[in-house]
Amino acid sequence: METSSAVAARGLTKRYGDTVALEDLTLTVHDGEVYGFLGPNGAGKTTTIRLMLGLHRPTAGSIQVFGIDAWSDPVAAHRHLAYVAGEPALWPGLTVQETLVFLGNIRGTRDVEYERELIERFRLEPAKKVRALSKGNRQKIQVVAAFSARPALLVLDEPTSGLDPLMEVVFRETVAEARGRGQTVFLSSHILSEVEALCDRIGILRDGRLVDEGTLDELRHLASRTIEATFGGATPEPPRLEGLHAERAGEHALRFELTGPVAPLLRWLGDQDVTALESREPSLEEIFLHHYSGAA
Amino acid sequence: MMTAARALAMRTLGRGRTVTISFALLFALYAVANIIGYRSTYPTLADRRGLQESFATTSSLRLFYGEPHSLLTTAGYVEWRVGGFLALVAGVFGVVASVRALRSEEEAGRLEVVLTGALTRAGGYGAAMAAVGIEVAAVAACTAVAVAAASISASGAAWMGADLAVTAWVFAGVGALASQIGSTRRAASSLAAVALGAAFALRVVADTSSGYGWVRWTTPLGWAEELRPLTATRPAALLPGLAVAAALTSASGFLAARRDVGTGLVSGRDTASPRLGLLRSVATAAMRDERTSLTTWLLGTAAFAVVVGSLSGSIAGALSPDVRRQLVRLGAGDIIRPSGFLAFYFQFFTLAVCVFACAQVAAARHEEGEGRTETLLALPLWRLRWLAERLAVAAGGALGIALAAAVGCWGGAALNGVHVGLGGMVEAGANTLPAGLLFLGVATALFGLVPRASAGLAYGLVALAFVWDLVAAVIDAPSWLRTLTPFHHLGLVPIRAYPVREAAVMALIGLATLAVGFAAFRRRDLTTA
Repeated sequence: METSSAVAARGLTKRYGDTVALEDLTLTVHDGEVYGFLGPNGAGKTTTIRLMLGLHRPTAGSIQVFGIDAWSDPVAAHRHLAYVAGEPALWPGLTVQETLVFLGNIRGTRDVEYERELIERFRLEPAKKVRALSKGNRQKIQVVAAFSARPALLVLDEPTSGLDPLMEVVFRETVAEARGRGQTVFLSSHILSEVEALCDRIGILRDGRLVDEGTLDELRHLASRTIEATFGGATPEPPRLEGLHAERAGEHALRFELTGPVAPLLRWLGDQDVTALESREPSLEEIFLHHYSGAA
Repeated sequence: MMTAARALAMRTLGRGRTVTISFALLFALYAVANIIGYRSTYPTLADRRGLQESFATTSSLRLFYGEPHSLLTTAGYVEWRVGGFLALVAGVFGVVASVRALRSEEEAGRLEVVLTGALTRAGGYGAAMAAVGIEVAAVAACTAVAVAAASISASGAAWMGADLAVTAWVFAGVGALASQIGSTRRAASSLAAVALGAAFALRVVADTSSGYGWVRWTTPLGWAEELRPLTATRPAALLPGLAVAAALTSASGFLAARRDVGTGLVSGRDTASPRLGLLRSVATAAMRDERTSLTTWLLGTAAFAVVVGSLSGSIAGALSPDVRRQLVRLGAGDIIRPSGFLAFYFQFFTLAVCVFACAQVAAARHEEGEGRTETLLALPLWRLRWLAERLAVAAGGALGIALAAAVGCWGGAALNGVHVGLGGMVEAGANTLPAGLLFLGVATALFGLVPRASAGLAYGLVALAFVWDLVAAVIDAPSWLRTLTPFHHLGLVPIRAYPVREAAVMALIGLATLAVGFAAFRRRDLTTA
């Protein structure tokens, strides 16, 4: 069973001195899916990735990449993956072209044809030296190097934090392409629209713990649904129901935030003089904020 | 504005405190050890006469310490032996302090953050240089207090402090100007090091070639000598240094206020056609990355070796038969033969090899601190292989330095018609390597165990080991304490037998500490700066 998943973390825990960066994380990324890893700064996303790459050693538990332990056999694990760091660390004296050749040489393989295509797509100048590039452009080098290696797993740590909106679109297309080819993508991000647009499944991390995981639809069950009702006459007194929060939304309207079942509220609304009814699914942003508002 | 400037100055002082304190201790320790050593080794006037006639008159020793004026009094000896050497080290300190305060901060992007606050570019420059001034004054004051405490006249000690402060300040100015010209710390340091090397070379010419005494007035290190702080003080000799320091610092301030932040006056081109030859492996790419530093080390060692080699013949000829007999009686007879003299100088080449080894491990640590090692180790590359390839570059470089020293000495001697035997010089070069391996191992162990502090600790241990060997002998430390430093076990190769047993022990310690370093690095998290 283990080998059918691209990434499998079991009871993964990491402490730095007294600081607990990650606590008992259990997580599975299935082969071929795009997994969104959400969380604000400091939630433990980068720590998870460093453990996944075998750069840091787990305090407890383990993490495997295609069934290979990340810490004890990183070289074998890395043959299946490529990584884009949030803070691109490259050699200032090398040009874009030289950097790609060097990384390709150390890796041992690269698809030169696809690399050329990506360089064009991301509008990189091959002869430019890294020290003359902005953060976004240095990030693009890493993206090109990672995708042109055509690995089974792409580990992306906030890959678009330095990209402009045009390049962000190109990036999304490239990820979609990779997914179409059956590559697995682990995308750590705090840009919700990006995760919402790209990811099959999403994990939400808070203070080093996974607080929620599932498809967007599954996550919606837990967050509140918004129903707005407009009445013909005076606004009636809202009912007292389990998991329901109501507030006035104008002179003749009520807004309901509902976490429980919908049926009891609909039965009550049936007896009222309702002139308009609007129901809205929670956005990922609302789900996200729902998980974080409880933290305070 | 004032509070922002003060905050920046305080932070510069805070960041530099380890370096400043280390230099202050080195200066004070070196001065006191020499004063005590002179008094115990040459207690009588007759002893001192012997010293005056033997060592002082040979041009070879002037190379390091400058021209002696009187070696019959403690003051005269200290002025020569301490002042001459510390002036050179003060120059190094000035460069290190100002490049660190100016270009390193700018390269790291911290200056940009500061300048978006309440500080102007001129204000930021002024605050950083004020901090450098305080550091220079502190180191000089420490030396003066140490010299005075060892019962040299207080006014003499104060003049000596002033002498060192002005010299350090001149080279802080050189470092400041280099920081305006070069756009990276490395470029600025290299430029300033070339200037310091030129100043040293001029002083060497002035002190070792008769008829060229006037050249001393063309170099800041010569001015430091001309002041003669402890014997016949000439305060006017401070003036050229003060004038040049003021000119350099204000010119640099003028430039700093007018150029774009983050650039240098000479920034390399931003584009280049690809050169892919050295990008095949970690080791070759590291050589490419470190090429400036590697070339500087090799050429610097070779040049110094040629100078030392060419002076090796002068020592015997300069001595009267009487003095030679006296030297032989003192047990220093070997040193008057050219190859013996060169054997003595190989301890400095050993020091160079050890410092180089630490510098290479520090470069690997810098790579890790900047996050580039993480970029590489996310590829299918074993972390121990990465470390092994970096250390292979270090070992190869050390070998090159040892060979450059051997061939340089031999060639320099041959140019002056002195035959010292290439085989013997190569043997002396080979004798530098066990100590180099030992410090390569120690630095690697520190890298594995305490990555953030490793570079400073490794350099500190080399400096301590070297100075302790000089100091322990003159202060009559118990023999087991003297044997603690690797430099004690070098022997005088080639005129004495190669110390096989000692070399084997050092090599074994080196290999054992290397193993510790590899094991620790294998188990630890990668650590950024």
